[in-house]
Parts: sequence; structure tokens; C-alpha cells
Amino acid sequence: MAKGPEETRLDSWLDGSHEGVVDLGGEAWSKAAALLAHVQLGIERAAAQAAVLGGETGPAAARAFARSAEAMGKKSDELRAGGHALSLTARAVSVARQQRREMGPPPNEPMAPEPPAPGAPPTDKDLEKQAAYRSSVAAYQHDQQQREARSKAITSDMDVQYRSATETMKKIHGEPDPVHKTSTTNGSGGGSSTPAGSGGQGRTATPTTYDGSSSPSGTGGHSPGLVTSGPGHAPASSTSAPPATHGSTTALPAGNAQSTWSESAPGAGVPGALSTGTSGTTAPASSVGAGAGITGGAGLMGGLAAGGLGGNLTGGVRGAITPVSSSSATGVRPIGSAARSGVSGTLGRGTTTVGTGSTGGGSSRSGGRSGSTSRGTAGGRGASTGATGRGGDRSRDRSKKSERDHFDEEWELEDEDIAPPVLD
Amino acid sequence: MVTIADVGSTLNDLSVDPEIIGQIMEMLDAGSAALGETRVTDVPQHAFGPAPSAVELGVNTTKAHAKVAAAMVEMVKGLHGFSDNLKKFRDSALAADEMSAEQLQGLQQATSCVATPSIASSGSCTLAGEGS
Repeated sequence: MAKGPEETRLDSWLDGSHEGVVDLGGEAWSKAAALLAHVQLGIERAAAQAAVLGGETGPAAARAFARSAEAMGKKSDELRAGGHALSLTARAVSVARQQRREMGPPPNEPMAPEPPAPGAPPTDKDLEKQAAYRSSVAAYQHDQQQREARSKAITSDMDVQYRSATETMKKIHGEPDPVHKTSTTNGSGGGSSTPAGSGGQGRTATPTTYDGSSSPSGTGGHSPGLVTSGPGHAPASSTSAPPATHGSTTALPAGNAQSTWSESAPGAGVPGALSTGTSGTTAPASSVGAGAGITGGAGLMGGLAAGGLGGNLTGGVRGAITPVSSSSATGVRPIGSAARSGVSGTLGRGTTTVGTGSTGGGSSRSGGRSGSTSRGTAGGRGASTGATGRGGDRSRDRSKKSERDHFDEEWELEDEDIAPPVLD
Repeated sequence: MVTIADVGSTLNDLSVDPEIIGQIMEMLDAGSAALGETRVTDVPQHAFGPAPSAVELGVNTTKAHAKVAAAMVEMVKGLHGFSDNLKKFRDSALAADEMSAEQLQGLQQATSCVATPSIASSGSCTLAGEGS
């Protein structure tokens, strides 16, 4: 069972909410409001009685009482509004919980059929199985899309209520909003590193298709499908978009979707995912923050990075797109990726553009920096990540001669020596 | 020598009805007692959940609660102030109404505790101590 980012977010919101406590708070506020209203009536009566008293004190007391009664009535109204806001919030969460319950558990991912023997052409039965698999994947995707849309609608409703109640509370306490520091434009130290989100378990449903070729191809063998989440905890800033890790073991291969025997990745990934897999890209190790996870596929994040939008985007939610080191990206190859033709997709470095975008500031220095150069920018550099999947452009890669590249090259050579293609 | 008849006459002249004052004081004391016993429960911030907007709501609810609690304390203090000054007014009525300047000031101070126009604007209470 795989959850999409929206569903993961919804569950996170619901799991951490205690509407019962909120409702009790709302009741207490409402009771206090009613009491104030009661006292107000008493003071109004006192004002009327004080008015008949003589001297200067009587009328003065009457005026003071009248003013006090009026003010107390306003405070009572404020308290009532606060209590009402809390009650509505509790109800909104309760309704959301009920709606989530009605959605039921996530559907199981369709099981990919067994691949044919290496070198053997697919039989009719294989093709039949593959067709059935495609059909079930389509149904699964449709279901997931609906679940994602529903989850998003539910969280949206919750969000609206939270914001509405916040405004009410702001009116009550009357304090101005705190001014948040914005980062400098050079991108250093601008990142907000508030921890928190509870990302789900990193998983991806990556159905693959069989095209009849017996030649294994790592390229596109894994498409970034439904990336439900990345590493367990994402920053509370709610957005965490680690760089695409080409060929990384964090490429989130789906449990049953490791059929690298297909030539063509469906590309469409799985519903709910924002990314569309293309050949040469692997699933990004996206982590979905509890708040507003952006589970980006390589293409999406690449676009963000290229446009320098990463910083802007995260700035909007006071978060940083946190770079995740991909130093281990080349540590493990998927089965079948040892073939040269597959290297570009899974091991090729055609991916990561790490910018040191400053969150909030809107500037993002993307491009040109390798993942390794972004190291050491502790303090929350926002990193816009993108994967462009320049599979197979080895000469270009080599020309960079960065330390990281050098590292990768060495690893590749060693790997090839040690691990010959499995499915050739 | 001041006789009981003199006292009654003076109170009548000033329209100081001890019974009315007693009733007013009773109302004020009851009100302050009720408010003093009221506890506006705070809602723990985490109860709203981890959503960014929920976290913000939690923060602002806590702020609002702090203001409400402070406003309640002030109102209790102000009601006590009203009651105390009425009592002084009643007790000093025998002397002369010009003695009521002190009570007028006291009433003014008590009013500053109760008559703030909103919870947010509370905090201007100038009474020294509760019920004093």
C-alpha cells in the first residue's frame, strides 16, 4: 500500500491533532464568555442603582459601572468568538477524520509480473500478464489520483479553518505578527531549518512495463512514480526537496516494481506524484514534509532549480528545500544497471543541479554547482534540486572534473569491473 | 455629638441608601468571585496538529489565552475596587460628600481595570492590589 503525498500529509495532520482537547478549550472559553455576560448584567443593574445615590460619588459610580458593563460585554463577545473558533476548529478536524476514515486504506499496488528469462523473448503469456498488469496499474493510478484529490480537499478545508481561527485569536490578543527575518540574497544561511514534519516512509510505486525486449536496460527502468515520501522526517517548514539522486539507493524502488526487464518505463509514474518519470531519471529522494510536502519528480525540481524558483517556493512557506547528500548516490546499482546503456539512467550524473537558494529571499543560485560543493553550507541553505537526466553524456560529465565526478568515475569503473551486467 | 438621627438625616440628604449600596456591593462581589473562579482553559499548542497553519493557530491561541487570563484578573481586581470604594463612600458619607474625592479616584482606578474596551487593550489597571 502506498500513500501519495497528499494522503500522507492528511494523515500526518490528523495524527497530530487532538480535537477533543481543542473542543474542551472552546467550551471553557464559551463558558467564560457567558459568565462575563452575566456579570455585565449585574454591573448594569448596579449602574442603575448607583445613579440614585447622591453626592458626586453616586453618579460617578454609575458612569463607571456603565462603562465597565459595556466593556465587559465586548470582552464577552470576544471570548465567545474565541470559543466558537476553537469549537469550529475541533469540528473541522473531526469531520476531516471522519472523511479520512471513509476513504479507507490505500489500495495495494499491483504486482508486476515475473520477467522472462534473460535473453529469452517474451511469450504470449508474458505479454498477456503484462497487459493485465498495465490495466491494474491504470486502475491503481486512477484510484490514487482520486485519493490524492480527496486528501487535498480535506486538508484544504482544515487549513481554511485553522486560518480563520487564527485571525480570530489575533484579534483577541491584538499583537502584531512577528516579523520573520528574510534571508540575504547570497543564499548563505538563509535556510530555515525548523525540524518537524513527519514524512512518511519512503516509497514509490513504480510500475514498469514490458516491451518485449530481452535486453535489460537500466535506463528508465525505474521511473519516478508515486513518491510518497522520503526520509522519515522532513523539516517543519514543510517542504523538503532533496536533490535527485541519480542511481541512488534512495531512488525508492517500489516493492514489486523492480522489473528492470522492461525497456520503456511508463513514465507516468503513479498518480498523485508530481513527477513524471522519463528515461534517464530516477526517482528523487524526495521527502515529504508534514506540512506541505513537495514531492517532486526530477523534472519538476529540475524546473524549479533552473528557474531559481526553489528558493522562492520554500520562502513562501518559510522552509528550506533541504539538500540531501547524494554522496552515496552511486553506491548501489539496481539490477541490470551495470550495462552501459543503463548507466546513464541510474548512474549517470545527469541530474542534480544544486542551488544554494536562500529561502524567503527568492534568490536561488542554481546551476553549476555540484552536489559536493553544496556541502558545508550548514545553517540551512536552501537547495534547489533538479534532475535533468542527461543520461549517457559521459564525456560532458567527465569534463567537469569535479571532485564528485572524479569520485563517481572511480566508483563506476570499479563497479563495472566487479559486477558485470547481470542480464546481458 | 453625632446622634443616630443625625446619621439618618445625613444619609437621606445625600441619598445614600445603605441597602442599595449593599446590593451593589453584593453584585460586584459576586461578579468578582465568579470571574475569579473561572479558569479559561488554555489549549496546548500541539493539540492543533502539525500543519503549519495549525501551528500558527496554536501560537496565537496561546497568546490570546494569556491576554484573556490577564483581562480576567484585571476585571476581578476592578470589581473589588468598585466594591471597596462604595463601602468607603458609605462609611464616610457621614462626614461629608466632599470626602468622596478619594472614592472618586478609587472608582476611576477600578474602572481602568474593568472598562478597557477589549481584551487586547487590557493591562491598564492601576489598582495596587486585588481587593485592597
